[in-house]
Amino acid sequence: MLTWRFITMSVKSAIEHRADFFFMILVGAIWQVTVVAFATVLITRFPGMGGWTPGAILLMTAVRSGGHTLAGSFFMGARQISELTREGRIDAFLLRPMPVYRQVMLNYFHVPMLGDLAVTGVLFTIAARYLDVDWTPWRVAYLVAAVLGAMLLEAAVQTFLGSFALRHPAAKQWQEWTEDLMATFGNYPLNILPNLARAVFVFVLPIAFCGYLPVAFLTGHTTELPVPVWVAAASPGIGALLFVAALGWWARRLGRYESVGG
Amino acid sequence: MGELAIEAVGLRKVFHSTSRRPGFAGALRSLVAPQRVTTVAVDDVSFGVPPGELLALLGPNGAGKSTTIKMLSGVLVPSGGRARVAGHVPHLDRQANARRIGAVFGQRTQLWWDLPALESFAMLRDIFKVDEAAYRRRLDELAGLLELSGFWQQRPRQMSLGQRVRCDLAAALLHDPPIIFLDEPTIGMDAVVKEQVREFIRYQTAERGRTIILTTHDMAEVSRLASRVVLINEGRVVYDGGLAELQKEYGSGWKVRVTFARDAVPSGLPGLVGTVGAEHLFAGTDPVAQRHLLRALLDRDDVEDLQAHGDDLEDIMAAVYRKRAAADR
Amino acid sequence: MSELRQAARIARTSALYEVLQPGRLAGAGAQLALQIFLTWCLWRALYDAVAASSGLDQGQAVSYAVLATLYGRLRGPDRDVAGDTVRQHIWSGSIVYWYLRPITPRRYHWLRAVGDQAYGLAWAAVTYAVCRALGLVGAPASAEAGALFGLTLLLGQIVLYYLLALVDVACFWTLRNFGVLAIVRLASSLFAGAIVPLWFFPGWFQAISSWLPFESSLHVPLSLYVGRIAPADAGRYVLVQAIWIVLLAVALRLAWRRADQQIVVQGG
Repeated sequence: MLTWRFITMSVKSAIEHRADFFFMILVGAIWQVTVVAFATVLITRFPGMGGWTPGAILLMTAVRSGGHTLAGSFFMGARQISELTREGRIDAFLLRPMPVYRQVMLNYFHVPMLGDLAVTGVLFTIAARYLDVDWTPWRVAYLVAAVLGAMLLEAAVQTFLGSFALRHPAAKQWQEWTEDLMATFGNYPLNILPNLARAVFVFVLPIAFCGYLPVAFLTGHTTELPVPVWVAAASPGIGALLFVAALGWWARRLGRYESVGG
Repeated sequence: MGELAIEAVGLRKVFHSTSRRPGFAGALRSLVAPQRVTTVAVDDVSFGVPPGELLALLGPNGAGKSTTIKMLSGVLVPSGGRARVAGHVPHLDRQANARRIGAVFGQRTQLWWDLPALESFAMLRDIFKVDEAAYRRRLDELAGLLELSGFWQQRPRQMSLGQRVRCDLAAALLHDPPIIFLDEPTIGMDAVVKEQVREFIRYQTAERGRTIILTTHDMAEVSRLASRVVLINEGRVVYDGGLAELQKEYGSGWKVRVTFARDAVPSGLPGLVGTVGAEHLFAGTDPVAQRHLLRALLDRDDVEDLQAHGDDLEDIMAAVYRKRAAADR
Repeated sequence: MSELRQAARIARTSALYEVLQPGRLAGAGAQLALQIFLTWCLWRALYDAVAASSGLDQGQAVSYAVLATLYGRLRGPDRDVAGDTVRQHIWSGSIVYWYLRPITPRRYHWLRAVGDQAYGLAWAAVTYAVCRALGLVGAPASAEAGALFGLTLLLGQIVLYYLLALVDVACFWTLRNFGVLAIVRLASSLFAGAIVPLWFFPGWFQAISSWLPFESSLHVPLSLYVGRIAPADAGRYVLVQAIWIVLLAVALRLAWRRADQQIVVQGG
């Protein structure tokens, strides 16, 4: 399968720089440790935050972290669009019999993905133990959907912004900034924020749908939701919808693509 | 007999790297037990360039041209042999050497990508500490020769390749260096801009007396600009001499096919070899004669179709290697 | 005189990228404003449930967190977007021109860094003034705290310079991987206290952090400002900063030697 070959090629090229590879593993380990540390911060220092139980907060962190890891593994190529355009690689992609979007995404593979997912798995199990929830198959399936929805939502944001990078190199800076913002604010139950701030995270940069809303629905913390309950329940679907919309936007911008440097 | 401006004596460059084994398993093995590999990029290159001459450095990809240029410009330290530029060893004092040379490396720009080109020029003026009056004078001259004023307010990322390279050429000359290194400057350009750049290069040598080393793939460019060529292959010099001699000895000559209007039979045009129907074939070995013929043809108004074939660089190089191989036997 | 002019022109290059393009300038301002607003909201909200946590009361935590958002600006304007990072020059090969100028690559890099950080500091100063005026950030815990904040901030900027320079120079022979660089950036922000004030992390995390140089660049000055670190204890932290400056300076010198060797012997 062509996609598989692309992935192995990316991994191989990552391995080729030996020091880079080992460093990547090391730094990936650091990141995993900090995710866990971060979760414990919230729970131990701010107990009863927004009326959420520790288990629920852990679950929210796990869902967001899982979605973020998957997005970072499969869709990080979106952050390189600016560079690819500058190097003229988009031109090369356009000449191949494969959708340009897929080639861009396959251009990079995040090697420590497995380690990251392992840590996410740990978070999930701890959260499940804390939470007083009956884990029916439906609930588990919803959880999986929530993680995938979170992944698609992050991918949607980066794809949407990355589409601008085809013509405006400055888009990359906005991509990094939203990434920082999502990392900083994504792990808190957003009902603690005043309305204006909450609105930002629902309607402008919709990280609410990544972890907060689906877990709020699942665990029943449905007071003070900024949206109707059914919208919170539909978070995975909204993530998917936004992703499809982002792809459409990408296709439009690609249609207007002008190569760099005549 | 003067001092040579550029001198390469037995230049040698050896690179050490790790080789990658093929396949996925191989890549993993390379992680733990990398294989060290030694590449001899330049084996034994010697030549000299007197002041005011333009030397063309030819050779296939990977022959060692770029490595040689890097050693001569002081960026690379040779593994063996010696380079001298304007009487000094370039890599021993790069900062001083920088004032004596200018360089344009084809695909890479020295302009600041996100600043208007004029800002880049001002930066270089201050980096090289050129005084204001001299800077103004040189910039005006360069702008005139290269027609920069139409786009020098733009950023390189907004320019076409031809515009960008022209700015790079100006940037390289702002500090008035007597010696210039050009590494494939016209690659990827359209014909009109290529010609403008070539004229500019010719002017720098002929009128300004700069010493220039030019690497190129383009035989037309070589014949236009250089009287002397050095052919490099596999890190060694295989030919060092005049261009005309090279073509005479190894080239198969030139051909020009012309279709004239009204079945006119041209008289007085040299090199006529034969006629097939309305098409006349001219051929010869002397490139100067080809140029004369072409000029004469372009002056006429009864030429309907014209095709000119020069010598292919690859063919000439192949001929050179064949002859050397035969001589080595 | 021309020496100074040369230095000034080189140093202001990155600032020009933003200043000459009002869109970029406005964008940076908007991003900063939004981030400060959201940070202020978040930390005030977190303290609705508790009066104090980890030795910080609400005022202290909010001040710390808001000022920490300036960390991104302190690094200087975005050179990646401008195609002017060391990594990009090495990747494209235009790094070769650094060795063809009458100024050593090391000095050129240093001048650029000084300009970048000076520009960042100017932004931080203006933003600080605005935040104080709007009441988002409190006054320093005491006059002494304020002075120590200034000192440790300055030393912290020097530490930051070395950290950024080491990452840049490491690109000459390694660290070309896009993903690694992204994670390194994140980790250094994390251990500097730029994402969440370090005081809230568990003890073992803070212990690890105390062995790393990152907290010297941001966490220490801010903690002194809000009074979480008493002026009497400041001496220890200043000493740690000084030690890091010496260690990193040596590391950078070695790194440049390796980098030059890489270009000059290995051909990059």
